[in-house]
Amino acid sequence: MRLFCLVFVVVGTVVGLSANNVSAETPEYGGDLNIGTVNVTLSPLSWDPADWTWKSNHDAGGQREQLFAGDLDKSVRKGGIYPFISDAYLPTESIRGELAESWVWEGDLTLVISLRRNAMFTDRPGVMKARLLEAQDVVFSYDLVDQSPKRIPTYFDHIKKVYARDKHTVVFEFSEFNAEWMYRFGYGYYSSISPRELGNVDRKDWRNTSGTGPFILEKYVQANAHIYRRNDNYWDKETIDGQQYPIPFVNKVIYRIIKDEATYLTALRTGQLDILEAMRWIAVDHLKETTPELKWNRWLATQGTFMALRVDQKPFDDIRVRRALNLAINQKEIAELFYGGYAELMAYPQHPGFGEYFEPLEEMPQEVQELFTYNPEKARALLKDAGVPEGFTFDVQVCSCSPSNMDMIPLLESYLQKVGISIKIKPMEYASFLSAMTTKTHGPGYLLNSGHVNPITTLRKSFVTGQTWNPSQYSSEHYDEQIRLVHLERDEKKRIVMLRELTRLILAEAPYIWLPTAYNHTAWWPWVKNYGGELRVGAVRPGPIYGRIWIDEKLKAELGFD
Amino acid sequence: MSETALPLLPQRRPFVFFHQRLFREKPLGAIGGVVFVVFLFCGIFADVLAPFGMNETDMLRRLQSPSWAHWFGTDHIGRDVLSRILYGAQLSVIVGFMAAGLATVISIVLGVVCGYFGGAIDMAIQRFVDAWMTFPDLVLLIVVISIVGPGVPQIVIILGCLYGIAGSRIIRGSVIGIRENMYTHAAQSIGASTPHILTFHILPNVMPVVIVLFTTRVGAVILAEAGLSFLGLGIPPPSPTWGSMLSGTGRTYMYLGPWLALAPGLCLTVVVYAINIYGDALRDLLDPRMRGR
Repeated sequence: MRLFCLVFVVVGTVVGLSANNVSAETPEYGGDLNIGTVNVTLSPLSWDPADWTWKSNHDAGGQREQLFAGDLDKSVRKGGIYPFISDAYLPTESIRGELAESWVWEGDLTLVISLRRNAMFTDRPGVMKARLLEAQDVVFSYDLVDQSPKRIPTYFDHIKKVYARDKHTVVFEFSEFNAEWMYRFGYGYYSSISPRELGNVDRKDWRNTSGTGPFILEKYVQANAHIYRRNDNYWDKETIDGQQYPIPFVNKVIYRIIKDEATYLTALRTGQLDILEAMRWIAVDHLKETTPELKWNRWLATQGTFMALRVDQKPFDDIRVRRALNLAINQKEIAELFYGGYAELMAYPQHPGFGEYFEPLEEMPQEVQELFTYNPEKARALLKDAGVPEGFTFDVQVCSCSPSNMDMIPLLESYLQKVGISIKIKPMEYASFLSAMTTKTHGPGYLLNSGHVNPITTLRKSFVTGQTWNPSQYSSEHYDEQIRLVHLERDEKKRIVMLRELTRLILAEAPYIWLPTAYNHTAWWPWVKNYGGELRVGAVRPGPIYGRIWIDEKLKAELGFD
Repeated sequence: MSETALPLLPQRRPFVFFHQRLFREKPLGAIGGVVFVVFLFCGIFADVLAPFGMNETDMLRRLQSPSWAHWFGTDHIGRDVLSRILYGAQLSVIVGFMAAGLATVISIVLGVVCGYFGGAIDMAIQRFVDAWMTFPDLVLLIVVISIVGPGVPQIVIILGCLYGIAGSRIIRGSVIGIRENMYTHAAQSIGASTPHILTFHILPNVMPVVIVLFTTRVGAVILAEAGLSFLGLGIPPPSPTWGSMLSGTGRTYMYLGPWLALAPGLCLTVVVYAINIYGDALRDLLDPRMRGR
């Protein structure tokens, strides 16, 4: 099974690569890199790490570094096996120390990390002068998120104490083992390292952000662009054909914020974007036809799509109703026709890229497999058993920021109508949509894309009582306890068995209408070098990837884009 | 004395007479009127005319180009575009007529009050109207819709207020002119009450202006609703408004299914253009000042 999944990941990526971009060319310095990122439609949510926003690494991850990151030298492009596509999952073997130069366990529960001595915070007028990273900065960064009122419940409960042993050594004392320790404050969503001086200024102001990363945030234009310039004092290097080069190569990285799908596709076609990281299948054939120079990578989305049903509200507190709604939806038709075959019927909550943690649908128990079949007759029978034979009406909130979900929701409505259920569709813009969930004021139906993150977190965040990202408000003492035990388990083989069992259990419980997971496509122009479609080397963190890209200006000019 | 039979004058049928004039003197406006009537007919009888349900999906016939079975093709989830256009016309009729009706009522009330009474009341209301008109329409619409949320009643009320307040200027101008006419002074002299004068002397004489205002407002409201739907602030899906059909599937599938944008786009253009030229023709025929021009 492990072999199967590994092959799935590697083949899936390699097949998608229309041109493997192993470079034998000498890199050039200079030029601007314009990117439509995976989150091209979204503006930053906050620049303050204490706000616990999931997009923080995306927006500031080229500037703020972390203790650990993915090792791009092990990427498929460089002959390795890791595609670096997952939103927040780094297999242990793919991880390297970023700001952590080395780490060692002293006993079972004490982690000692030696920091890099050449990592330097950049100069920020009004905030700080450039200076070297110190252990106190790591302690400050940890305290900043740990003491925030917006902290996700239980997130850092395994950490008893964090302190600086000396200027370059930081110690994490654990109260109990946590299998996710590397993710939680290593390469996760809320692990960025900021200077202590951030405590003296307005953290929400982008002008006050500082870090040790390859880029410096030069300008942010609301709903338009983030503009980063190169950090000339960056510590890391890139090895190409055995030779080391200081990075970053490009002068500027510009994230374009474009809310309209047709506009960002046009921006790619006209060379306004060098890379467009995520597009739907419907645009691909036409783009390949009209712009054959583009290079491509296809990848299975790292977000599941589902309609969460509030199990704390009637009638969704009845499992028969929830299962009926699943049976009323023709997921196979959605995968084959709505997504044009570019989708997997079941790839959530576990992702096929998670190796043995993922269990294919055909190996699941019958009660789970049944949920992915279309059976409106049985759906009606279940509704009758549940005491709602005439059906009912409920509100479904959907984010207008997702073109795919906006396209799909009328189809879901049509399926549900066939078993007597009506929905009232409530499109919302992203900030209100997200806020409705985080404040638990969202509707009984909530059509959401939610990240797979990693094999444990995908279950913890979505189904453990009281978690911020639990849109169905699922709550079970048994489930909570089992998840706690998974975190305590040091043996990965045992964790895999436990998580498979919990995944089966939650699928059968149907707190969501489970929907297929689509494939996405990344496209880039051939002048973008040293790049193979990698998306993240941490939790939604692309910064180090962009730091290694260089632009072939001559080729760009030859193609007519001066 | 014998009774002498007076020769009978030909019976005058104003409606027929007026439309004969319309076709004779303003043929383009008449064509606009015909399109307007067809649009109304489609809107009112959409349930009967539409060959399929507005949300009847069939994934097996998705993105089919126009054919005998589906005159305007099908969309990304297999819905018949012609049927959705017809139901969209129904929504446009509902929104267009209700909002234009509300706008007209507001315009009449404000315009008649200001124009007839003048003085401090006129000054106060017109300064408010001035302030109101300084806000760009679209910005105002976006702000209000963002606060109250999208939906047919909200859009009708907002568009009604938006166009009604601005339109009061036109009615006020007419009323000021009528107020100074001899017959108004005569009515005042014989002691007619103000409501009587307003109802039987002022209002009938501003009706030509009101009719023209109403028709042009219908077109403007349809266009404004389409604009809001295009921006995702209109009537929520799956209601098939023309604006949302343009902005949603129309743009997304513009290469795979260009008919998805062409059909609502053409309908919108033709209907709004037709209503506008019809309104222009009505103005030319009904407004005495325009006669002979």
